[in-house]
Amino acid sequence: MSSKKPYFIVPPPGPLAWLYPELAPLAGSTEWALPAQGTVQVEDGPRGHALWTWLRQASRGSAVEVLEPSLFGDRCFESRMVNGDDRIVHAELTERAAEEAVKRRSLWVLPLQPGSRDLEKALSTVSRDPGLFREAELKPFFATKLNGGQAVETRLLPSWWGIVPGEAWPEEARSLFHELFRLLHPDKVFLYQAFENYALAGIDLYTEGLMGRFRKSSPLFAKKKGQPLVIGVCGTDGSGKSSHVAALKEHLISLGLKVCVHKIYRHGVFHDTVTDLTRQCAGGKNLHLWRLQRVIKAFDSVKYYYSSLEKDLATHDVVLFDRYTFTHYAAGVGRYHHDPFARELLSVFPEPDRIYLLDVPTEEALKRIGNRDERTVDENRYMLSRYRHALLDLGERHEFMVLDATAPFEENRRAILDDAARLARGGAP
Amino acid sequence: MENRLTVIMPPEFEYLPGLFLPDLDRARLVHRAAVMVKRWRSYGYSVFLDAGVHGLTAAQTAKRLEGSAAVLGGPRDAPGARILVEALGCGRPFLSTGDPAEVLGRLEKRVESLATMELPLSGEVHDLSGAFLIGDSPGSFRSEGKALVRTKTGRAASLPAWVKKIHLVDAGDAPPEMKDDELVAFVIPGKNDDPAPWLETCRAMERKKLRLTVEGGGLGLERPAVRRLLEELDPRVGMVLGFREICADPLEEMYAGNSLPDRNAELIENIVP
Repeated sequence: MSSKKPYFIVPPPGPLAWLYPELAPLAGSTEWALPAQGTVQVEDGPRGHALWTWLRQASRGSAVEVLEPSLFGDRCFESRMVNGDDRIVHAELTERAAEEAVKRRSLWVLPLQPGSRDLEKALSTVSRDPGLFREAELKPFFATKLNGGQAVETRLLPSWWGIVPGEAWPEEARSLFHELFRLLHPDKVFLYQAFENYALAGIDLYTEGLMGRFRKSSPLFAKKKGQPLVIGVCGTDGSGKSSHVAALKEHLISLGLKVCVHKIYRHGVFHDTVTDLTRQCAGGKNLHLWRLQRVIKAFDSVKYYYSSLEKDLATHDVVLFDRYTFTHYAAGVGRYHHDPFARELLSVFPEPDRIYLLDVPTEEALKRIGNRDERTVDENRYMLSRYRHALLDLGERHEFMVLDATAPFEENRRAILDDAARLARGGAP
Repeated sequence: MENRLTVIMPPEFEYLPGLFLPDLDRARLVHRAAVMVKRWRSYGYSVFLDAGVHGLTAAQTAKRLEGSAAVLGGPRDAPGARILVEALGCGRPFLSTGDPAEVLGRLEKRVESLATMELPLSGEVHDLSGAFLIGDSPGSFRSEGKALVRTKTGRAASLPAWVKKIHLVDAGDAPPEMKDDELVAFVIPGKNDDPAPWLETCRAMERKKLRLTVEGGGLGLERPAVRRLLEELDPRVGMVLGFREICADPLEEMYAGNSLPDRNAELIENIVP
């Protein structure tokens, strides 16, 4: 350990303070820039653990040593909430206490302890006069420390502390908490549920935010002179991608170009694993496994890049893709609305010169799929519809050439071939 | 209940409720609808307003509704209005969304036709808590020297007491010149707009809100706690912009009832054993 004076970091407020912003000022002072060398100490607590994870990565290869947060005691506002320090009030949940809280404008928090009847009692009390407790701005949260200081072990990612109950609570706790929260903070219900959605999906918005993963991911490898033309054909299942890719390949070869076709989003790969994971998550159980489905798919594409694609990018004039990274993004939107991790992971793939989006109405896609022998978990009306809208939205932002897949095949083929030939001659997209 | 009409609005989707003011344009619309409904009710018509302030999903709202419904939303409420219309389904009569002024005009006509039916007064009073009231009488708040703003209950209570004037700021606008007792309401940029100017505007406004600006335009760095709050904006605002980048809108998804456990169940059903 360095003998230099440590650099002490208090993590910025996380999801619980995003929900209750008035708690944020209770956190200690923060310094952000990493020193060139020396020792960094991180404050204890759930957010401290998340920040510690990030700092360990950020300081990799530098002369900075990051010390574990558990060395430095409890100073996060989360701990104060549990202990009732400073101007945070813990009072018995009664109408009288609520009137007092309104009068004094105090920060009134309600830690819900596992193994108790706290949640049921709170719901019963608040239901009697929701308006009063709403005015008192009561802040319920799931405690991760018991009154005696003993930690409650859950498999939740640390920064989601307080937002969702871990497995220490019975399953129905989530729905009870929904109603309690709706009574107390009706204007924040959807924000809460969005956070809960990500928590259950195992996505750590806090750490992702610290790492900057929400910012637009640029391809790692900027396009250089001499690199091939990169063209992708996207669309939902049943839109006719493969037929158009084959026709495009044939046409480009006829122009004397060296062309190859790749599928980076492989349908069959890990299908059994993904299906099994989905089954394990049935009924809202084991939802921490949910995210593995997307990670498996994204990693498969990255693996494919290095094993099969990288060399072709160096040796061909045109590389065609039957689906591209946008299919991953659409899948993330379809499954749980956002997937920053996959965006960063997939940034190894080059920026495409053109994406053709074959748009087909969901009902029509289902009819076409109906002729196939086997369906995937996504080949249903709901998911196809979500994928379709996500792809159309991405198309608007990334300037895809959108084609009506219900139009005659020859019509679309001609539009694609003309455009691709122009690009191959060096025309601007 | 066939003659009962509920004017229903989708909720305001705000990712950053603790940081920015609600959409004042929408608040004005709520107020106009509330005034109209109150007037109708005073005439004895069975007309109600649901301003989307109860934390219910679109499906839950549709389930609780009785009689016919009219969906009302401002320009920025279009996604929520669409979700709501879908949830109301084909079987329920409703007026389509569109230009708020036009919809309100059509509602007036609708109520006139209801009047000829001699509706009984149900006696119910809709809870309008959480709505801003923006009136035209002199008050302590001014917005661009025209509409006057006063607060009632709910979210409006979060308006800081020291605010005397509110500026409406759109994407790309330069931060307006403001006095210490003024504040801004943000108009979040469209998905095709460059968010950078908006982000910079947000930061500038936050500095102002937190009283960070000093003479000469520098930051009041002697206030470490306030400086910390500014830095903390980055991960969270970045997150919101990240959602916009891929056109995902978690709040809309939740309003539409698209929660993870539900979607999980959908996929489970689709797995052939």
